[in-house]
Amino acid sequence: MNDEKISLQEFIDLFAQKANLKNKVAEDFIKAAVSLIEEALLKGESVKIKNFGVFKPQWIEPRKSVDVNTGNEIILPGSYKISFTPDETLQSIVNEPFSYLEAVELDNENANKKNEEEALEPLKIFSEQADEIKSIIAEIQSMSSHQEKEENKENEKKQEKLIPTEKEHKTAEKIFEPEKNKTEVIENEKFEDLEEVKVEKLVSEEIQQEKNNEVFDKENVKQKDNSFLEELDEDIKSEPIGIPFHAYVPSEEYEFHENTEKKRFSWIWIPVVLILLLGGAGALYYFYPPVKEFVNLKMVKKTPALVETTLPSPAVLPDTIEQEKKPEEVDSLQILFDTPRAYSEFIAKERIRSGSRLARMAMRYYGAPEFWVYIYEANRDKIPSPNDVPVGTLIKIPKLDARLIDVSNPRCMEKAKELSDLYLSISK
Amino acid sequence: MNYKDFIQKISAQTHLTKEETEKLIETATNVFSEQLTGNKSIGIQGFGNFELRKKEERIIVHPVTKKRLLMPPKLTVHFKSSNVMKEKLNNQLKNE
Repeated sequence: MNDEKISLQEFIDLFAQKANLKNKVAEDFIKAAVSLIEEALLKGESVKIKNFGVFKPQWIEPRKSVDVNTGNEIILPGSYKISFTPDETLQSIVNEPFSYLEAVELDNENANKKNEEEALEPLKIFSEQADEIKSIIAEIQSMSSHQEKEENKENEKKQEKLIPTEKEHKTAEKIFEPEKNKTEVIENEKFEDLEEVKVEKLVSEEIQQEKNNEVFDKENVKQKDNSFLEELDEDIKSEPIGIPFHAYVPSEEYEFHENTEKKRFSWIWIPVVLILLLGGAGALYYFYPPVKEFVNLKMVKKTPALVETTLPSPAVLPDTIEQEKKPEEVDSLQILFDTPRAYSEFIAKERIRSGSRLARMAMRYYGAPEFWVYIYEANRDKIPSPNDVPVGTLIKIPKLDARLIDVSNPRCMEKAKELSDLYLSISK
Repeated sequence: MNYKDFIQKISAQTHLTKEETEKLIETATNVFSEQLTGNKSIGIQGFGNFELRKKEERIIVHPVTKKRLLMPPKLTVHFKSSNVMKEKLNNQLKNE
């Protein structure tokens, strides 16, 4: 990184000039100094020069290495070298260009990253579950519409026949048997819909209990859900068995009945899974704050975006239309002003030097000094008071909505002034 | 050898007073650092090279607090002894 190399002679010339010495004297002096250092080092002594540094002979232990050409391991013999440690004074003079930099603690940033990762994890599960639920609902809807038709047919037939007789003639009506079971499933579904509400209530109660402990074990709830549902399943199982059903069914047909029962169970599992997923999603939403935040964020983001799309871009539209649309624009601006600004994107970083002004930065980045308030807002944690910005602080210039810093719009200026008055009064 | 001894020995060799010697050494170091900050390396024949090097930024872990810190880049003076000097040093010290 060196541009130039100067020899000892050039150095002596410069030194002679500075010290008002004849070149010869200066040369003798410097050479004496250098040879003295050399001598001392050769004796194994260290040499300290004030405001410059310490020279020290240093023993380097023999170490293993690999011959680049042959690939054999070789042992490099130990040797002496001269180490030079610059004095602090020299160090600080030399390091002038980087002197403003300070060590930055990293743990905070890492913790933030971790939090983000943690926040994303449940969201992933959440979205997966949402997809599953959607597909299941779609399946059920397509099937239930089909079932309803058959249900009607069956009901007509049921009216004609008594249930026991129907079962006696089962061999003739084998075709209807699965359908009947399906209607039972539908009934069960209805029953379970009621149960679902109960389960959700249960879950929310549990959450409240758990909240007190501030420890939430998601699996716990799921297990409880499961146990609850198992009871439910048992109820469902016992229901058809409880009906005097076996008595009428011959042993050969009993096998058939078992088959349909299996089929029915696959049906029962769908609402069971549904309830589980809904419960889980609900629990996630209510309990995991990151999820809730994310969902709320999405909602908040969506609303201004919608407004934005309905707004005509002022550049495209002629003035007359713009005037007509003005009230709407004002509304959207009001929303913009009222929503707390989240600064996530930054266009630049600036280090405060003596004489730096937030207003001047605002002028440079946003086109008007009034918008310094937004820079201040984005860096509030670092700036104790807008009137007194510590020299050396690194501040970020946030990316702002173009409508927020519209210089031609008096409302933007008004808002900025309002904010600046507010912040200045707080700091006083 | 500390700074006092160093000054004393130089003044003995150059027939200057200690005060004068001290002043001259100070000027010399000033010129030295000036040249280095001007991004110029200084070579002293038979002794070694002084040059400015940039140490890149790095992450360190504080041994006591276990906090991770990002150290900023910095410029330091690097000294590389000449081969002549190294040989002399090794001959001298290894023989002892």
